[in-house]
Amino acid sequence: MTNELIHLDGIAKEYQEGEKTHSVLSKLNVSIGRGEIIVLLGRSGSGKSTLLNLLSGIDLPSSGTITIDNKNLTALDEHERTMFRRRQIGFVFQFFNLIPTLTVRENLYLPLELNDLLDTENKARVDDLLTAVGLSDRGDSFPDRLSGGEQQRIAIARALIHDPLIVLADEPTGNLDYETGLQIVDLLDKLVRQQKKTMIMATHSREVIGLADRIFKMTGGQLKEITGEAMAWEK
Amino acid sequence: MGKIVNRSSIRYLFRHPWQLLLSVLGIAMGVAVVVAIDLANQSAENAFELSMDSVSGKATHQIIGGSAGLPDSLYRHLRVKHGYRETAPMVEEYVTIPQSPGRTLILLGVDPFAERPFRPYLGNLRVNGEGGLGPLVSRPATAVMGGVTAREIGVAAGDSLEIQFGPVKRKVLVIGLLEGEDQRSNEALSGVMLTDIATAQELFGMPNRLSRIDVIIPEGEIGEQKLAGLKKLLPSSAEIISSRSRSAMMTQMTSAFKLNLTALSLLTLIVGMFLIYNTMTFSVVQRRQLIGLMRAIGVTRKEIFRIILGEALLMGIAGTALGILIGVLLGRGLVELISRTINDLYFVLTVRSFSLSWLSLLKGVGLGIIATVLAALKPAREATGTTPRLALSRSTEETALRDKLPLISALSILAIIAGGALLMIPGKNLVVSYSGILLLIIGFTLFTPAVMVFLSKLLKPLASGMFGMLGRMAVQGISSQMSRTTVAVAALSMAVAATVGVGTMVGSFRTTVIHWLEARLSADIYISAPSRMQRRPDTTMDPAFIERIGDLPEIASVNMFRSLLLDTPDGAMHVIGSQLSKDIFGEFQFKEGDPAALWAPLQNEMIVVISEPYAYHHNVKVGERLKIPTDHGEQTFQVAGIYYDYVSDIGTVLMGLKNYRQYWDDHRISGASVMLTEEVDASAGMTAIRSVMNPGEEILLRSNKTLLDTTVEVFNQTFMITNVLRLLAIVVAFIGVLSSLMALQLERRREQAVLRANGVTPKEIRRLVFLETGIMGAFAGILALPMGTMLSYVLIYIINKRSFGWTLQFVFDPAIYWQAIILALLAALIAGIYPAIRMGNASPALALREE
Amino acid sequence: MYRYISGFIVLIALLSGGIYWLSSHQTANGIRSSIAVAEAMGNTDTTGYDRAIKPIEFRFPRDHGPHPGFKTEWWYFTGNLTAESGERFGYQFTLFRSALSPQKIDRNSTWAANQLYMGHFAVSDIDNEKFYFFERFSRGDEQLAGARTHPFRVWLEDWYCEAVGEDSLNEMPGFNIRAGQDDVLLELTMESEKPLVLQGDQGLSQKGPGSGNASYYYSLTRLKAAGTVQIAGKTYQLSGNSWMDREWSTSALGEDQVGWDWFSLQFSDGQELMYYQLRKKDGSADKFSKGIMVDKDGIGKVFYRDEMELLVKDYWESPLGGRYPSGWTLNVPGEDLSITVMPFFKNQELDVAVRYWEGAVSIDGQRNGKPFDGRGYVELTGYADQ
Repeated sequence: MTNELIHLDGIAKEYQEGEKTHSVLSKLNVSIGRGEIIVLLGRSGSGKSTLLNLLSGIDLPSSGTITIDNKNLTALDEHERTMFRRRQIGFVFQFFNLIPTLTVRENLYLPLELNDLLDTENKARVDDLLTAVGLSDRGDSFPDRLSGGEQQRIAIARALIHDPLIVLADEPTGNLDYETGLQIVDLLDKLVRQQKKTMIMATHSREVIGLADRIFKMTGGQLKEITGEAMAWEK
Repeated sequence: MGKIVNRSSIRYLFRHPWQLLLSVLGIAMGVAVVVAIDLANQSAENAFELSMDSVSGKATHQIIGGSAGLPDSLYRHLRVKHGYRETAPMVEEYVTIPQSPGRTLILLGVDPFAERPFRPYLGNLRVNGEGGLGPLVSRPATAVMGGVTAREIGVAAGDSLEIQFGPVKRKVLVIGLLEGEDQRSNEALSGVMLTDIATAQELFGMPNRLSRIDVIIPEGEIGEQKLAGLKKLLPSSAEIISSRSRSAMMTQMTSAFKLNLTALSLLTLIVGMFLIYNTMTFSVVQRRQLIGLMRAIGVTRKEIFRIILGEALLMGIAGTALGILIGVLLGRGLVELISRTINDLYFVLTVRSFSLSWLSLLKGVGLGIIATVLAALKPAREATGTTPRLALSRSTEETALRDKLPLISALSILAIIAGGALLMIPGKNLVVSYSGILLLIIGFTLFTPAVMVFLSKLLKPLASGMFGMLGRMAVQGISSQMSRTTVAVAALSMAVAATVGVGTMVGSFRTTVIHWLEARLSADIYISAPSRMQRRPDTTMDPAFIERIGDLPEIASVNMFRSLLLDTPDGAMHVIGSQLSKDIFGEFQFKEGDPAALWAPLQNEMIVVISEPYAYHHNVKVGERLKIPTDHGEQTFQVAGIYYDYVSDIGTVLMGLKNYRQYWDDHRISGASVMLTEEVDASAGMTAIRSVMNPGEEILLRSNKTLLDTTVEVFNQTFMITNVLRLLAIVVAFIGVLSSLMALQLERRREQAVLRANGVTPKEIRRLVFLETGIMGAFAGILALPMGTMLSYVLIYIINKRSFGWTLQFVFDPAIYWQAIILALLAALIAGIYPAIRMGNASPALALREE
Repeated sequence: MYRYISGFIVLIALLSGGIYWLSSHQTANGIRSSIAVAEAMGNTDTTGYDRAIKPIEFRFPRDHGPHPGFKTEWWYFTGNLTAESGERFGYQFTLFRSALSPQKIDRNSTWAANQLYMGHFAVSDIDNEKFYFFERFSRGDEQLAGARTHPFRVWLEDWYCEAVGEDSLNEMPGFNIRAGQDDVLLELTMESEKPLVLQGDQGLSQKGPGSGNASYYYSLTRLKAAGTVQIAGKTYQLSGNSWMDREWSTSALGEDQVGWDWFSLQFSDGQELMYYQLRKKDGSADKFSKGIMVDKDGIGKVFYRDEMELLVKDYWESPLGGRYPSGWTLNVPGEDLSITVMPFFKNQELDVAVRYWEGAVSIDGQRNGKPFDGRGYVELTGYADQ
C-alpha cells in the first residue's frame, strides 16, 4: 500500500484473569491507509474497544508491533504514548465524552491547550467548528445542559479540533435514538472526509456501515475484512 | 499545564461545596488546635521570659540566701569594701490585689540608685528634680506600678491601693505609673510593682534582709576571676547562681507539661489528615471516569498527579489559613488555661501575655500544608493509575484491597511491635515515647480493614435477621466499599480511642489522688495562708499564731510544717520540715521504707524521705545521700524512704521540723493541721481558731472535707485543658465521619436510585443510610476500645511516669467505655442525618438519568 | 512538579528566614518605659527647706560639713597637676548632696533615707588628650554615702574627701581626696596656701531675682596638692594646684537661666580669677553673673558682669550633640587685664545623667602689659541637646 498510515503486525492481546489466560486478540495483521474510513463490526466483548485502546496507545499489545505514521507505538513508553495520543488521536465515545466541569467551548479548547495550540487563530477555528456542528449558540453551556445528540456533536468537534492524524470512535451512536444516530454519523462522515482524516469506528449498528471505505469484522480475536460483494451485502 | 484543566479542577471542587467545606474545616481544626497550643505554650513562655526580663533584667548572676534571704550588710560590704559595683539589692515578694481578685504582681523593692545597669526600664527612674521620684525613696509606703495594670484595676497615680501577701494586707500609695514604650514592655511591666528597698523591707517586715543581690559578671577571664572572688566573700548560707541557668531550670519544669499538650494537639492534626485523605480518595474515585477521559484525550499521569495534589494543596492552604485564624482565637482562650495550670503546678506567672509568635504560625502553615499534601499523595498516585477511558469497575479495586489485607495486617503488626519497642526503651525522652504511641496508633488503624471484614461477616446474619434485606444490604454496602469506609471508621475510632485513653488516664489519676488524699487527710481542720499557687504553699504565717492555737482548750493537737522552695544547682528543691505525730505520719503511703520506723529518726538524725517524683526526676534511691543547701551551708542527708505524693511533680524532700529548724534560721510556718477534742465539731473549732488570729490577717481554715473537695477541684482545673483538647479531636473526627459518610452516600445515589426505582420507599432508604452509618459507628466504637485501653496503659504507665514521675493505679471505668461506644454511634448517626435526608428525597429518575 | 516543590521549599525557607530575622530582632529590644508621676508628687517644692536669704557668719570647720536643711550642696575640687616625669593632668572631683525631703522620717529600715548623693570624677590626661569620667549615685546611708562635720568627711561608697587627720578640728584643715573607678585612681593630699574667700556679698551669692534665690558660697582658690594618679596600671607622682568651691542653696537659678560658663583660673603671678556667667534662654549674659579676683595675699575683690568682657574665640561640636564654646578672650578693663583661655584639648565632656563640659584649660595673659600664663578649669552647662 502506497499511502500506509497504520500498520499492525502480529498483534495479540491477552488478559490474565486469575489462573486463566483470556485471549482477546490474536495475531492481527492489518494495514490502513491515510484518509480511509474504517468501520469495525463485532459484538460486545469481541475486542473492538481493546483494538482502539491499542491504536491510541492507551494499552500495549501482549506481542506484535503497531506502527502509526512510521512510528512504532509499541516501542514508546507510557509518557511518550500519552504525548502521541494527545497530539495525533481524536476520540469519540459512546457516552461521557465531555468534561462536565468545562463549558462546551472550554471542552474544545482543552485539546488545543494540551498541544500548546491555543492561539487566536485556533480559537476562531473552535467557533467555526461549533458552527459546523450546528451548535454555535451553545458555546458557553455546560455539557449537562445539552441533549445526547448535541453532546456527541461536540464530541466530534472535540475529536477534530486539534487536527489529529486519526479519529477513533467507539460506538458513537450507541447511546442515541435511530434518527439522531444517523445525523451524528452523517456529521462525522462529512467532517472527517472534509478534513481528510483517517477514522476507525467501532460499532455494532449497521446503519453506519454505509459511510465506510473498508469494513472489518471482529470475531474470535480475529479481524476479517469484508470486501466486494459481501461488503455490498453488508451495506 | 494550562488554565483550562485547572479551571475544570476548581469547578469540580466548588460543585461539591459540602465536601470542600468539610475538608477545609477538618484541616482548619487540626491546624487550629496545633497553632493554638503552640501559641499558648509560646505565650506562656514569653510571659515567663518577660517577667524574668522585668525582674532579673541584665543580671547575669544572683546571690541568694536561705530561708530568710540575705543580710543587707552583705550587699554594702561587697559594694563598698570590695568594689563589686555592678550589684543591686532586691527585696521581692508576690503580692495580690484584693480589689482585683486573681491578679498577682511581683513587688520589687529596689535601690533606684543601683538599678541603672540592671533594669534599664528603670533607667529613667529619676529621683531628683522635677518629675523625679524622690518621694518613692523618702516617703514610706509609696510604689510605682505598670500603667496598663493600674488602669485595668482602676488606679490612678496618687491613689492608694491595698496589697496582700500571705495573710497580711497593707496599703501603698501609687505615686507613679510605668508606661512601656511598646506592647512588649507594657506586658512585661504589667506584672510589676516597684517600691524603694526600704519600703519593701518595711512592708514585708524584713528589716536588714534582702531577697537576693543581682550581679553582673562580665564574660571571659576577668569575669571568672570576679566570680571566684565573689564566691569567697559569701557566707555559707548564701549562694551565687547564674540567672540563665535559673530561668532554664524554671522552663525545664514546664517542658514535660508543654510537650504533652503539643502531642495531644498533633493528634487532632492526624485526625485531620485522615479527613483529607478521605476526601481526596473520594474525589478521585468519583472522578474516575473524568480522569479516564482526560487520560484518553492525552493528559499525562504526571499532570493528573499534579491536578489532584494541586487540589489538595488548595484545600490545604484554605484550611491552613482558616486554621490559623481559629488557632489564634483559640490560643487566646488556651493561654489562660495553660497559665493557670503553670501557676497551680510550677511557678507564679505575673505576666499575662498573648503573643503572636511568627514561628508558631509558620509551624501551623508548614504542618497544615505538609499534612495535606502527605495525606493526598496516595489518592493522587491512585488517580494516575486510572486507565484511560476504561473506567475500572470498583469491584476490582475492592478485590485489590482484599488481596492486600494480609499485607496490611502484617504491616499493622509490625507497626505495633515497633511502637511497643520504642515505648520499652528506658529513659525519660518523651519524644521517643510519643513516636511509639504514634506507631501503635498507626498499627491499630491499619488493623481496621481486617477487623471490619471479620465483623461484617459476623454481623451479616445478625443484621439480615434483624432488618431483613435492608440489614443485609447495609452490611454488604460497608464491606463492599471497604476502601472508602475503612478510612472513616479508622479516623473515628482513633478519636474515640483518644477519648478512652485520656479519659481513663485522667480518671485513674483522679481516683489515685482521692484515695491518697483520703488516707492523708486525717486531721479535722487545716490552716494555711492564702497562697498564689494551688499545689504548694509559698506563703507563711506567724508561728506565734500557731502556738496560740495549741493553747486553745478545743484543740487536742496541732501539727505544723514549713515548706520552702530552694534553688539548687540541680534545679528547684521543695523542702518540707514537718512536725507530725507518729500516728499521722504512720498513715503516709510509702513506696519504700516504713513510716512508723522512720518517724523518730526523721526528727533528729540526718535523714530525709523524698517523694516519688523527686526520686524519679533526680534518680535518687533509698540509702543514697542528698546534698541540701541550708542556712548553715550545704548539708548531707541520707534518703531513708520514698513516699507517694501527688501534689507536685517537682517533688519534695521531707524532714522533721526540728531538724529543719536546726539547719534553717526560720521559725515561720507554712501550714498546720489541727485535731479537735472529741466534743468539739469543726465549726466550733474554727471559731476558736479565728479568735486567736492576728487582727487584719487573712488565714484559710478548711475542714477535712473542704480541703479534699478543693484539691479535687484544683485537680480538675489542671486537666481542663486536656479535656478541651480531647473534645477538639472528637470534633475533627466527627467532621471527618460526616464528610466521608456524606460522600459515600452521595456517591451511591445511582445505586439507591435503582433501589427506589424498584420500589424501595424513601423511608426505607433513610433507614438503610442510618443502618450503614450506625454500623460504621459501632465498628469504630468496637475498634476504639482496645486501642483506647492500650493508649490509657501507655499514658498511665509510660507517659505520666516519664513526664511527672507519678505511679498511678489503673482504674477501669466501664462508663468511659460505654460512653465511647455511644459517642462513636452517635457521631456516626448524626453524620448520617444529612445524607439520609438527601438520599430519601432524591428523585430516582434524576439520579438514574445522570451520565 | 519538581519545580513546584523546589519553589515551595525556597519560599518556605525565605519566609522562615525572614520571620526568624524579624522575631530575633524583636527580642533584642529590652523593656523600655517612661514614668508618669502624680502631679502632687513633683520634687520642685521648696517648702520646709532652709533658704539663703541674707549673709551669715561662716564658722569653720563647721561649715565645711553638710547643711542638710538646704536642698542642694556640693564639695567641688578641680586642679591642674604635673607628674614628676613631666606629664600634665587635670582633674575634677565633685560630691553633690541633694535632699529628697526637708526632714528625715524615722523608719523601720536602715535603707530609709532623705538624702541623695551624686559623685562626678574626671581625669584629663592632657598629653595624650584622653578624658576619663565617672558618675555614681547613692542614697545617704552609713556605709554607702554621707557627709559629717566632726571630723569632716564626705563619702560616696569608696570615694571621699576628708580633713587630714591631725588638723581636722582646725579652721582650715588639709584635705585628702580619693576617687577611683575601673583603671583610674586619684589620691591627693592638699593644703591651702591662702585663706578662704567668701564669694558674692560676704558669702551670699545671688543667682537669680527674688529673695532666697541665692547660695552660700566660699572658695579655696589655691590649694597645694600632691599625690598620685593611676591610669591603666601606670602610676604618676603628681604635684600642682587645686581649687575647692563650696556652695549650698535651696533654689538658685531663675526660670529663664539655661546654663552657665564658669571659670576658675590660677595665674602664674600668684593671683586667681573666678568668673561665672549665667546664660539666659536668648543666649545673653544674665546680670547676676559675677566673679572675684584674688590677689597674692588672698584678698578677694568682687566684680560684676558690666565690669568685664567675655568673647568666644572658638567652638567645639560635641559628637553627642551640642555646640560648646571652646576658647575665650576675657578682658577686665578696670584691671588692665586681658587673658586668653584655651582648653588643653577639646573633648572634655562628661556624658553623665546631665551632660556638660568641664575641663582643664591653659591661660595666656597680660596685666598692665606684663605677660603671665597659668592653668585653670572651665565648666560649661546647658549646651548639650538633652
